[in-house]
Parts: sequence; structure tokens; C-alpha cells
Amino acid sequence: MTRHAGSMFEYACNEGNYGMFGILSGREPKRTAAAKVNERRELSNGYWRVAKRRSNDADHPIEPSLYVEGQKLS
Amino acid sequence: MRRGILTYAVVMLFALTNALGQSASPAALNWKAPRTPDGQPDLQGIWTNASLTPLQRPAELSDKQFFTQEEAAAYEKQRILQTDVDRIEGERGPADLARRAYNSFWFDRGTHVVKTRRTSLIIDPPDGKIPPLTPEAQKRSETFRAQQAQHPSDGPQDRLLTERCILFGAAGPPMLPEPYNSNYRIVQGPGYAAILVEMNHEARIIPIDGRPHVSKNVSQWTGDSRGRWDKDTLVVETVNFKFNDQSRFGVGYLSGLSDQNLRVVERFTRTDPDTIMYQATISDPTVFTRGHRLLRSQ
Repeated sequence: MTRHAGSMFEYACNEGNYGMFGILSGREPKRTAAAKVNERRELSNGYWRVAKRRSNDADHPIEPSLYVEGQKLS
Repeated sequence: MRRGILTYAVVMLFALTNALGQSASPAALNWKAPRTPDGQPDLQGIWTNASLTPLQRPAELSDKQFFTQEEAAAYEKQRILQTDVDRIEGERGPADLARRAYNSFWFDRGTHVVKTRRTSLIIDPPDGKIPPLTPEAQKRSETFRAQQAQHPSDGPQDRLLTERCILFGAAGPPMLPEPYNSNYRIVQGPGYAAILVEMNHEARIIPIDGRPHVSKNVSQWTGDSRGRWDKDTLVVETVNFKFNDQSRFGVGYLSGLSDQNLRVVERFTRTDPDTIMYQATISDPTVFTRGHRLLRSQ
């Protein structure tokens, strides 16, 4: 490692998290309607994620839709 | 074991000096690392590990461990051209635009290879490559990639930690150069050292007071670091790395592979007023068929 003549700069990585929003939004149209029928959303470690529909839907109802920054993803 | 590692490093550095036909200047030989008020070697300051030297030796270099001066200059010129995203070649399209999301102004890969002119940052194994995976790890890797191909972005947790702004390879350990923001501020106090990483402003607090590691039940993205002094070298051992379902934690080149057995031992040694010799030894017996070592020194 070499001594750096400059200073350290603040690094705001997420830039408002627009990147993640765009990645997840972009993926959504590629999932077919048929696939969505067999999917549900579940909460995992604090995040909503898509899971395949289980056999007993009464025990595993479809979760509320995911909203990110006011936009519906499903 | 500790003596064995130290001996290896000393022998290796001596060999490097001879191999390059270089000899340390009298000023360097007489140089002594400055001390902090409490008498420890002073590593403080802002440092960079930006370099054009690749982590692994390019295949075309085969068993060539060092560049000649001319080869190094040619390689540097080639890498700078290859990574200059401002150069427009061929048709412009979506991929072309994506590649230029940041133009070259924002990148800081350095302009030179390491001073030793090694052809890879990995010095051990001698082939300069990350060791092969164990069969179990290979299977995990294939399963992971198949899953990722089917579900690349169903939810945030499917994405890289870097995309989620959680952790970058620069934070390590081991601390690896990034295309930009490869800067570090080291601060020391009695019984502690802290490393602030410009990339994602990660701060690693390293107790150097002899305390044991925290319980294995406590894990962090950058692990749990403990330091000790070996003469003028700060030795930092890190365990207890955090993992999620995808195991995509901060050591970039280990994406999706490392597990709870990962152990990294780093060595920080001031070698002159403007240089810290950085070494990292990585071992994970359930993932790699052998340990491997990085050496980083400008």
C-alpha cells in the first residue's frame, strides 16, 4: 500500500437505491403470467421474495403485494 | 507455525530483491518505522492499494512470475487502454451505454503494476492462481449458479452485496483493489487499530489488546478481527464472517463460495515512509484444497 497524497471522500453508494429498484422492476416483466400464478411472496429475513406456491394454499395465502417507493411490483 | 510463515516471507522478499537485480538503498536499510505515543509502529495515514497488477496471473503468462521492465511497461499500457471506457469502438448500443455508466473520469485503477513487477497479487500457490475448490465446494458453486440463472432478481437478496451497497471487496479482509475508491485511512490508539475503507465507508475496528475472538455465534460481514504485534508488523486474524443464503459476502473473488471456516491472516509492515507491505493468507479447508496468499506492496 502506498501513501495517498489526497484525502478520503464520502461515498454514498446507493444513490437513493434507484439501481436496486431498477434491477427488480426490470426483472418483473420477464416473469410470465403463468409463472406468477404459481408463485407467492413471502417474508424472508426482512425481505419480500418470490416463492413457489405450496400445495396447501389455505395455510400459505398469497401475501400482500410488494410496494417499493410507492410502485407496485406485482 | 508463526515462525514458519515469517521465515517464508523474509526468504521470499529477499529472493524478490535478488531476482530483480535491485538492492535496498542505504537510506531504506537504516529506516526505522515511526512510533505512536504508546510506542507501537505507526501505520497511520491514508493509503491506497490501486494497482494494475491482477489478482490472478493471466493464463497467457503461464509460469512467468515477474515482468521485465519492458514487459511491465507494455502490460500497463495495454491495461490502461483496455479499461478506458471512454474509447468508443464499434456500434453504440445498450451494452455499450451500460459499460459507460461511469466514464473513465471516475475510475482509479492506478497506472502501474506493483514495484516488484510480479504478474499477480497471489504469490502462493506459485502459479498465481486461486487454488482449486474441494468437490463439495464445486458442487455448491454449480448449484448456486444454476439457482442464480433461474432467479437472478426475484428479490433484493438475490443480488450481489455490492449492488445492495452492503459490502465491497475493498473492505475485505483480504483488502483487494477495486476499480475506484481503493483508499484506506488507518488510525491507531492504545490497544486498537481502525481501518476506514473509502469504498462504502466500511470501518474495521481491530482490538490489539489480547482479547479473544467473540463467540462463533456472532458474525459480521467483515468478520471479527483481532490484532497483535510481531516486532514491527501488525498481524490481524479474522474469523466469524457473516453469510446469507447466497453467501455473497464481501470477499469479491470468493462470491458464493466461502463458508464459516474462512480464516484470513493479514500482515501490515511499514517498509519506508510511503509504503506498507500488505500480506494476507486465506484459508478455508472446506472450500479450497489449500490455503493461498496475497502480497501487496507498491
